[in-house]
Amino acid sequence: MKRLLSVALGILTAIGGFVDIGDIVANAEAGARFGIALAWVLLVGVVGICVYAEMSGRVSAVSGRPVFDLVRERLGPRVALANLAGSLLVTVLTLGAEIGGVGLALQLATSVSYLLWVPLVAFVLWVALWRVKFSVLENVFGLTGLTLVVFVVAYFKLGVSPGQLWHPGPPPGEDWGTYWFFAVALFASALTPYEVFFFSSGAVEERWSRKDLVTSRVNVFLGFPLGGLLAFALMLTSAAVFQPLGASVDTLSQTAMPAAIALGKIGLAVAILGFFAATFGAAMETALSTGYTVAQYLGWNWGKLRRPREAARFHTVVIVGILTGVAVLFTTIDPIQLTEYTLLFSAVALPLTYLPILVVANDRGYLGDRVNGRFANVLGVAYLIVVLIAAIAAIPLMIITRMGGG
Amino acid sequence: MLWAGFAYNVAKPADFPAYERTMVQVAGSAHDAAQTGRLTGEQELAGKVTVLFARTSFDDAAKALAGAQKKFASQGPPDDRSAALRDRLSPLLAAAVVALGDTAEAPDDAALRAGVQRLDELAGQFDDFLSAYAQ
Repeated sequence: MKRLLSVALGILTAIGGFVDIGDIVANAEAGARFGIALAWVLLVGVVGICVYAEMSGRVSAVSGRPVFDLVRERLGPRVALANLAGSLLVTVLTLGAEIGGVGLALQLATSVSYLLWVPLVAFVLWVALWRVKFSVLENVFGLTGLTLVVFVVAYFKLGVSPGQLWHPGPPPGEDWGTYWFFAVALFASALTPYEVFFFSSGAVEERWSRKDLVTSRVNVFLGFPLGGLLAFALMLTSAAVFQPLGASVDTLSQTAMPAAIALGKIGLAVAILGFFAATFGAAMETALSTGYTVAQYLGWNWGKLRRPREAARFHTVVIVGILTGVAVLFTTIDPIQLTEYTLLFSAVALPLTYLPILVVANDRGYLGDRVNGRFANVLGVAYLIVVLIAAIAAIPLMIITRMGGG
Repeated sequence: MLWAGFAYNVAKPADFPAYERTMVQVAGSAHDAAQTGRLTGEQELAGKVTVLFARTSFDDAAKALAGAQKKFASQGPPDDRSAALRDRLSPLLAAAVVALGDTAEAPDDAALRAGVQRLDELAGQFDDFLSAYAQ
């Protein structure tokens, strides 16, 4: 049991990265419109996040410090500020969307408007981050989020072969512009900046050291592929149900429908529980990442391993992040649309996040004999090029395709 | 210059291709709403979804349909061809609103079944429209 729980950090991080509210619907929408023609993007994304999360986990385990702290020290405050600005905006907006996502999951179960749930969700989130131990949070929400595996079961129950859902490129009615728009969005969702900051800060919260390098790698190579698998299952089930109807998917209720069709009310209930846990987990991840990055940049005490009064400024930033997210939601912007936008902006901010990590992971001053090997560097540089291309293409694709509308 | 070009592009009067594109988007959204309503009704009849979930799902479909109607009303037809297009789509949209509302509020299984049937027919008609005009 202890071994199972030791991978909870990786699972929670991956669930926040791969199946937060935006990804849940984006994967379902990609499935409904493109079948599994974009499944390769998930694979590319999983490998990419594994490469960089492994570096981040190794940096934290060996140095005992989070990546963002070292980026500031190694590359100076200006580079770190660019990194902070790019990732913080995306993270706070995503936090708002996740709070709305929890509300949407509750709406599926109660039919009460998500906006009425938002203040309550924000309050519970704040209390959880203030009072509950880090390990309890990651175990409860990381492992409960795994109930989304119901979509894997649902896919097999639906009995549609992958061959029926696959097209080489965009299917009839779609064009290459929207195909690449979705490819960039799905890729950016796999590599969102807060994932690596949360993972490396979480490693420090859990007091990982050199002897935990294996645990770190197990977290990375089990957690992130599992997150990718759940995202793929959402894509598959949506493709199986909605693509034959020629209908697109843009709500959480549509995304849950395949679980209900395949498994009835029990499947639906498990899917809603999974949505709740995944979005609440992602809300925790983004709220903590907001506090982590700001506190680490400014050199404040941070983290949940200290008493709140010893890290008061860190907790204040977390509260301000939550309140900002709630304020954004109260403009009545659709939480799903909000994450779709933030995914695209996240794509633009990606190089600012991943280049500094690559630099730090090659610094013998911090890592000694645990610096990147040749293989890690080849993959790291290759992904940096892909990240750069995605960053350049994101905004033009957004304009040309009218946010994927075609 | 770039801004001026963008402003012209946004503000220029609609022509038939632009109007046709908007109508195709409207028909696409209405088709999706009808299909979602049909699926929800079918699952409700089969006892596979809760009443509360079905209500949320019907609400989502109704919102999507309302968005399509708003878009439909936001642009007038610039010529006779466009007016013909509007006249073909308009009754379908009105029928979809009625059918979705009746299905969501169906008092018994017979009414729900009839609503599902009507939404299925309408989804087919939106499909025909899209096949005729979508490029």
